[in-house]
Formats: sequence, structure tokens, C-alpha cells
Amino acid sequence: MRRSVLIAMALVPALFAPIAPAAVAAPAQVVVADSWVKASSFSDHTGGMTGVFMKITNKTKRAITLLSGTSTIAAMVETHQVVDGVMSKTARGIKIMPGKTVTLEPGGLHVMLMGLKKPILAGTKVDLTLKFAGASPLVLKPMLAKTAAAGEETYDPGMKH
Amino acid sequence: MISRRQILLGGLATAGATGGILAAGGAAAAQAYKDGFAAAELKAQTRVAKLKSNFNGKHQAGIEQRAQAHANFIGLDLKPGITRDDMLRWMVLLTDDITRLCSGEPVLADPEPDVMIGAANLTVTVGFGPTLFKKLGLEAQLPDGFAELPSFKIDKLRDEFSGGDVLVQVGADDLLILSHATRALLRDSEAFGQVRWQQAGFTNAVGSSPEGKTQRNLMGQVDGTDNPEFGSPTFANQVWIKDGPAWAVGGTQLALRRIQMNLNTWDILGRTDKEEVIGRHLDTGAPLGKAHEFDPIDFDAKKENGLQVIPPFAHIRRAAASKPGEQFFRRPFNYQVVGATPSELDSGLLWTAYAADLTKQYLPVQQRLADFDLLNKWTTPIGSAVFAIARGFEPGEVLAEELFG
Repeated sequence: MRRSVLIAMALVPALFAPIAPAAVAAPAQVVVADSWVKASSFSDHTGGMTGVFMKITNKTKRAITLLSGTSTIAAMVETHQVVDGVMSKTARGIKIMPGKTVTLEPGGLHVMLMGLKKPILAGTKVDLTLKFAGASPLVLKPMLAKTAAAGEETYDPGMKH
Repeated sequence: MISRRQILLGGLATAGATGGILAAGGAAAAQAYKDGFAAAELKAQTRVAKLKSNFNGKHQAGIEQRAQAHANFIGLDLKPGITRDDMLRWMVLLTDDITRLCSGEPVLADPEPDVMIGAANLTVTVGFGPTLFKKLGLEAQLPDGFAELPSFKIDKLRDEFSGGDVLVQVGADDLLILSHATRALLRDSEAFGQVRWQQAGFTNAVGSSPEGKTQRNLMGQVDGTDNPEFGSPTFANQVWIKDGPAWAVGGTQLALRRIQMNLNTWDILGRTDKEEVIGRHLDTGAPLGKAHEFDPIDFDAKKENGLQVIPPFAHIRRAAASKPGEQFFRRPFNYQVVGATPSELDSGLLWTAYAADLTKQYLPVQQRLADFDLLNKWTTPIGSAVFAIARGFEPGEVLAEELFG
């Protein structure tokens, strides 16, 4: 009896599915989720630097490229990559094809805040506006700085900014 | 007027006109049936993971609700040099973690996000010990009646289960989810606090005992019969702080006592002796001489031989309020440390009292029990800590921001 009730309940959505209104298409846009900033010994002092991580989904109909950004806490914002544990600036930003999501994560692609004007400690809130080619600038919600062990990378002392 | 039956028949006739479509429709219906069945099965199998507790509001979660199957109580001490500003950053992190974890989502930057398959009724409750107020010069923010407990003659307290600047109480109905969430909370606490102790407790699993039924402890007693009803004015009166510093209004005070049970000697007692020690029937939980758990206790009732039905030494007599207001809410978890010693299990209770004012509501009762309660023969408090629990937070607010801001 209990099982038949379960089946009946399960079938209801299936039967009504065809007449449910089609999802209204969201306006074409760039959507950022789960953005956070790494707090570490590189970021705990003025003049320091750190990485920013997030998922960026390109909901527009054309390819876009994340080029850089601005933040009140950093003198410079760049897009970076980590290859074989060594970080460097990406040559042409971070390209995101239509409908695709790019994950910026420790040990991989990320946004770099450089020339910190204030220390970024665990629990500090950080503002960031992303600049794209092919899309309008995107003001992110204040991001949380967190300590994270993942993706410890070498900051190449010879790195050119 | 066209009847429902005619519509159905009409539909069949139309479908029948093209046999191929009918066959295809049948296969699709069969598939839909099977898919629906599988979805229902999956839903039933993951029911516990999908349970969520409300974590926003006037009060923090994890108090006015059924004790989850599992809980971790973690006591932390501030790392040297931690300031109020640092505390606020810690609270920002915890607020974000709590919001995500209680929604069944991994915390930001979770290195193992796939473990977080749901909330399983996860709750996180944060409080502060008297030592924190002293260290940060926040004595003016102490709620009325909140202070270290005096030492009782029955106490054999161990440092490893006692004291602490900050409490993080985590509960969930799934031990894997609880473990993962606990680690996430501690990882984000690392910059601020040093873990002083960790205590794990448990109750029955979801689906083992009827909702709302008083749980049993490992001595076999029903434990928590006199608790106020959730959502009742009595509960609000006993538990939630009504006035005082803003951060604490809507909060409460917690006494957490680790009560070790000597089950080996308790086991030797006969059933009647056990019932007299506690003052209740073991099976029903009814007061001695009564039939039902929630029957009022008659402390004056006498047996034919003139002795009291509920003996002078009985736990419920000693624990009963001697004047109005000597009541509080208990939400105990059992504990058992497997392998503490090669030959013996360490069993007991993570005993909790939640009260708006521990000094007025709990202290007199604890003093009476410490002075004289036969149950003390089989129980030993080996850990003790008190925490002032902050009020709850609304979306957009930061936990305890008025205390550290």
C-alpha cells in the first residue's frame, strides 16, 4: 500500500510535465558563483597578493574573455594560470565560450589581486569588479577570504607583471 | 454534457486509429512508470539527507528541536593575540559556513565538496565561555546569571573535557555529513581558535524511535520527561534570554556536563532498585506509583508500610524544582568511547542544561543533586563547561556581531 502511494506520487509530476510552462529564458548574461579569496601569508600584509576563485558561466550567445578587474583593495588585478605548480599571467585573459562555465580554482586558472592596499585575512570581505571583452563589467557581491590548503603554488620570484 | 467516461473512450478510439502510435504510447507510459518508480525509490532512500533545519531567526538552531542522531561539541580557546576584530572575522566565516552547510551545500573552498550530499538536519550552535569575556575585556556584555559553575563535591573534572572560550555545537542525522561539516567549521576556525576538547554524542537513528518520544540513556532510563514542549511559552520562558546585552537577547546559556556512567556496577542492581534510584518505572518512564510517563509526580504518596513511594534519595525528588523557576531544558546525547581502555567501554552522557539564567534556574538543582542523590553512586561528572549562546541571525546578519563589533 505504502509502495503504491509512493508510485502514485512519483507519477504525478511525470504526467503533468508536458503541460508545465516552459522555463522562461534568462536574459543573456555572465553569472558568477561561489567566489572567494584565498587568505594566506602572501596576503596578510600591505603590498601582498592573493588569488580569487569562482565559477563563471557565460550565458551570452558569444565568446567572452575575462581580461582583468578592479578592486578597492588591490593596485592591480590580473588573470593568472598555474602550470606545473608555477604561476604566471595568462597571455590573453581567460576565454569562456557561449553556454560554458569556467572554474577558477587553486592550482589552476585564477584572478590575482596584487599590490594589496590592506591585508587580506581569513574572514575579510573583498570587493571585485570583473572586466571582460565581449561583456559588460560585472560587480561581484563582496567575497569572503578563506584559508585553504588546496593548490599551494610557487610564486615565481622572477615573475613579470 | 460529455461524461468523463466518454472522454476516456474517445481518447482510446483516436489512439486506436493509428496502431503504431498506440504501441509507442504504451512503451512511453511503461517507461514513465518505471522512471517514476525509480525516482520515488531514490527519494525514499535519500530522505534523511534532505532534512533541513531552520537556521535563521531569533534563536540559533540546534536547541529548540529534537536531538539529532549525532552531535559533536567542540570547545576552543582563543589563539594568543586574538582581538574583537579577529573574532568578528571568525564569526563572518562561521556565518557563511552555517548558511551553506545547513542548506546542504559544501562550504566555500571545500576541498572535498562531494561529501556534502545534503543537510541531514545539520545545525550549528555557537557560544562563548566566561574566559572569552575576560580575555577580550567584554565583561559588560555578560548576560545575567552567566558565570563559571562552582565546584561540586561529586565532580572529578578533567581539563580535557572542561572549560573553553568558544563552543561550536554541531548536530546532524548523518554521521558522515556531521563529520565533514565539523571539519569544515574547524578548518575555518584554525586562524582564531585552538581546539581544547571534542566530545561526540549520539541518540537513536532517524526511523528508530517515534518522533517526540523521550529518549533513553545508556542506563536504560527515559531522559528528558520534564522538558518544556517545543514552541510553548514555557519553553521560551525557561530557555531564551529576554533582556540584557543585545547579542544575547534570544540566546540562552548552556551547561554542558560530561557524566560518566559506571554501568558495570549499575548492571548489578535489580530492576526495582534501579527504579527507586531514579523514582520512575523503567519501562514506561512513569513516576513510581503512576501508569504513564507524563502523569504528575506525587511526592507525598506513601506505601502500606509507611515508606514514601518515591524514596527520599530518588533522583526525581532531588531534581524537582523547590521553588518556581528552577527548571530548564535538557537535550542530552549519549557517549561511548570505544577503545578508551582495552578492557572497558567508557559510557555516559553529554548532559546539557539550556536556561535563560543558569544561576537562578540550574544551580540550585545541581547543588541539591551534588549534596544528595543516590544516582551519584553510579555517575561521575568528569567534564564541565558553560557557554553563553548568542541570539540567532537573520539572512545578511553576522552571528554575534553585536558582541564583537
